[in-house]
Amino acid sequence: MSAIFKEKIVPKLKIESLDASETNALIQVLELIDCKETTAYTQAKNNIDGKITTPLFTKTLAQQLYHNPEIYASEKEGLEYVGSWLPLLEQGFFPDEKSSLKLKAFLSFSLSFFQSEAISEPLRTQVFLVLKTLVQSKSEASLTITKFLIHTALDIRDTLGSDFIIQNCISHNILNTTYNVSNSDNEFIAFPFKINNDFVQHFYEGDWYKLVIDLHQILPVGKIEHPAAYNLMLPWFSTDLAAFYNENLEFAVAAQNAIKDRLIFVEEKSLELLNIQTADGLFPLITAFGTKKWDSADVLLFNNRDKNIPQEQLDASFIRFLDWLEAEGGSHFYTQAFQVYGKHILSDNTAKLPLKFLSFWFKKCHPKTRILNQVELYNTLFSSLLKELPNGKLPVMRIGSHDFQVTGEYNIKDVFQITNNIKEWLGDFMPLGIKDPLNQFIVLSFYDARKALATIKDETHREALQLYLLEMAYATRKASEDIKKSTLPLIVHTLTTICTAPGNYIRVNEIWALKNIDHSVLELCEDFAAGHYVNVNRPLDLNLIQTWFNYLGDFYYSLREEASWISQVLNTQGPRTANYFNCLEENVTFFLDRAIFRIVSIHKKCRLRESTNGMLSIISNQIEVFLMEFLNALNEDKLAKQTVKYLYDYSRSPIAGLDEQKELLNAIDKFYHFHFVQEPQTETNALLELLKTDDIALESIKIDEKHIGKVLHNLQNYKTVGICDIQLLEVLDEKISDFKALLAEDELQTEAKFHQALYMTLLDKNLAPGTVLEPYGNLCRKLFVHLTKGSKMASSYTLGLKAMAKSGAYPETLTTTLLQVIEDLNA
Amino acid sequence: MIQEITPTIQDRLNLSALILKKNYPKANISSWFGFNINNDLEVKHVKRLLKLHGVKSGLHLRNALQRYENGEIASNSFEKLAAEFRTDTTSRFDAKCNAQENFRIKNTYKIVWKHRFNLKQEKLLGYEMAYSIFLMRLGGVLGFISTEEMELRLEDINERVKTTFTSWGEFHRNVCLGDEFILGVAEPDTSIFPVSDTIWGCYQRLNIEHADRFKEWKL
Repeated sequence: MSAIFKEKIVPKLKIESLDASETNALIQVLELIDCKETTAYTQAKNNIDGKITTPLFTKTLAQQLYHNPEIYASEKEGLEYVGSWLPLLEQGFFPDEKSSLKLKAFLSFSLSFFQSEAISEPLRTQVFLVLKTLVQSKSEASLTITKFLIHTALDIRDTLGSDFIIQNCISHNILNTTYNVSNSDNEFIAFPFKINNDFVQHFYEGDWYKLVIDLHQILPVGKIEHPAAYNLMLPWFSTDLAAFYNENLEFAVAAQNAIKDRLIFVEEKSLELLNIQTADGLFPLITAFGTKKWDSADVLLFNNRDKNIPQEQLDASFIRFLDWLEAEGGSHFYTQAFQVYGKHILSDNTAKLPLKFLSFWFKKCHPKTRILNQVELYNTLFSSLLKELPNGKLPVMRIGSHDFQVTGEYNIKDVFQITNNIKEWLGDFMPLGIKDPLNQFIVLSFYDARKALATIKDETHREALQLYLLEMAYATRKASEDIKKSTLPLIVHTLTTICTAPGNYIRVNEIWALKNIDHSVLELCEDFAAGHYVNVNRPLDLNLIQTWFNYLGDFYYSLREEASWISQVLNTQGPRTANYFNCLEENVTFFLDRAIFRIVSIHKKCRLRESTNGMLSIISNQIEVFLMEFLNALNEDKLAKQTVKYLYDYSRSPIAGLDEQKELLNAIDKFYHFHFVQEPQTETNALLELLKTDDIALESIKIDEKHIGKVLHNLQNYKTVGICDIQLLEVLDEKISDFKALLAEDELQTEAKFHQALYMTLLDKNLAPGTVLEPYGNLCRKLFVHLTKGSKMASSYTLGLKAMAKSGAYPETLTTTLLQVIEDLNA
Repeated sequence: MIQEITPTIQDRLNLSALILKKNYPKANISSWFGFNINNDLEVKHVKRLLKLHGVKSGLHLRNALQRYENGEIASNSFEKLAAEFRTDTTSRFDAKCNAQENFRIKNTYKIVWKHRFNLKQEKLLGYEMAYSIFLMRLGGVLGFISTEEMELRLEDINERVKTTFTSWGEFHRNVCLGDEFILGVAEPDTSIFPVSDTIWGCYQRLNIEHADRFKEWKL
């Protein structure tokens, strides 16, 4: 290569014009290009001849070496000449400005020849190595050559030349390190290839617009799957370029268009330029999306954005995207842009969506739209808004450039707009079931707003809301396990919060019944039911107490599994219930009789079977606690006599097993004493008095109403009291005429009562002949005959007695006696 | 884990055999539920029947059982009418009956009139008890009620039935009457195949295994 130097340059060197230090440098140059044998070398050696000087490579010398336009006359020779510079350049002997400009002019001129096959590959490489060295050299040549390369590469007019330069610059790494420019002190400063003010100053005379226009023009040019200008410029993209775009949004939009074109022609995404970022972290090309009306390509580009772009730079763009989706009657849904790219914008979940999307979602997926594929896709996309569903939280969305925690109340008022038409509105959604994300969102909103919903005044609205929630609760049975687990507690929470009005036990039961759907809401539902059924802040009433006793059955049958709040009733409500009855003025003995009968019969069942299951003994213990507290607090006169008797008998029976329950036994005894020991004392005082009259002559006893009353009482109650007062009857028997007269005057049907009472004694086996009480029985028969004979009742009693006698139900003695009585009556 | 059925339990379950067969002719009366819980079609049928009775959960089921237990389904309304008719003369009853336009109500009136005295004690308890066992068996299929609970309830129902009625036949007459009282007197519907049967027809055809033992009426 150095042949050209030897033949054409060295002979022409004007050594005599050089001073010593220049000559010294020349000697080095000649040594480098292997020209020690030339005359020029010898001459130069002689010229300095022992003088020791530092070598100095000056402009003059450089021009002598590098500025030889006559060689450029032949393009091939010229290129070989340039290629031969390399060893010199490597040693720091660089061309001056004049020769650089000449070189530039030559290269521009012979660019097409340079690309041709006439130039061998090694030579081409050699030349580009020269160019690379020049670009990196600390010399005037650096800027000049760099300028040449950049301008050629970005020159859209000669695409072949441009591509040639681009490919070679890329393969030789030429335009991506630094170039050098001299400053006012003639010092060379290295500049990186970054588009900034210096860069623009150096290559575009400070005109940013020119640069950016060039850039945009060259971007779409290139071949598919081959590096192109974009790859060359990739290292140049800088925060300053971003800042320029940021200040000139119209250029940002132009850049977007260039990127779109590049996508079409070269099928490259140009992500780096799209996501170019300023020093302050602004993404001007992305924010530019927020300033314009979108087309399909914008959707595509926006989908390619960097996923770490701060939210506030995206808000406007999302609104534009929504506008695009809504435009043309929503038909953009069907475009490829949406199906392939647009849906990712909604599904990648890197950004919070503007609040407007909520209404959009409800509009597009409303059950009445019936566009199934659209509903399905949007539902899938927007289900990201339900991310926090298991935690019962609504999403955070955006209003303007601020975060907005969506609230249930907001949704009801502004998104659903159902403050007045809740029933109709919910009616549309109900059939979809909880599988539908919209219903999940509605449920979540209601849950969030449950406190406010609890204050809804309008009855129909409240009803509609509750029915909807109940429907949704049952719909969870048909939904997946995940949905069930996350929504059911929300539904139940909402229902239990809004159903606070007392009295509607049908609704309470409906909500309570939800516990069967999933175990997770069991406790909630039970607590809710307990809150309604056992609420000390609400007045008691008979219906409620009756309900308690009804559910006591379930409580028992299910071994305390169902109606678990009955435990609470049994353990705590005894005194309260008793006080309630104490304050009631009306007669509740029948009610209490049934209640006590039921509770005791369940206690009995428990006792009978408690060996088979331990739960049963717990129930019986709880019942004992309840009874004890209840009876302790209840007034004695609230229980009917027969109830007390029943209780007393049961408490003493071995089945009841109450021997240890002293307190309960005492409580029962209290009633027993009141009804059977104390009260009869007052009532039968007269009788006792009468008994005292034993010694008094029978004649002295006067037959009067008082006496008759006593006899009647004795006749009616001798079985229970156990006193068969013969004397009382004897008196009547003796003074039968007085007695009859008295009865005739009586208007209180005492006579009929006597007939009946005496008739019953006739049929009593215990008074039959041959028994201890025969005398009493005989007296009764006698009296019956006396009283009945001749009366209008005689015939019917005769018939009755006949039937009884023939029934065969009575022992023989009594039968004969009965027949005797009949005879007496008929006599 | 489903308990084994002892003869005693089967005996008690059989109290609902007639109602079960009427509602599902293919039912297997020698099982806890009468339905095969592993057969989706049968479970679906159970769901349909429960829906018909408004039973959506265990609580619904128990509330329904309470209503049957308390006579709220048939006995109370039967007794109310019967009490009214007991004091009526034949002509007054005829007038009342003819005043009704709905033929079903007329039929109901006739049933009550016929039995106004002889069912004074029993009312329609037999029907209600049989039906409550039937509902329990349905509920058992969907797990609304455990067999342990069924066993406890059956024991009490059995006691009530056996102390109220004196024989298998008397009990079933009551069941049939109750069914007619609630659903109306039915004629066999020959327009569909297989011919839908009246409750009396079902009773005629009811086949109970070990009938001798089961029909023995003792507590």
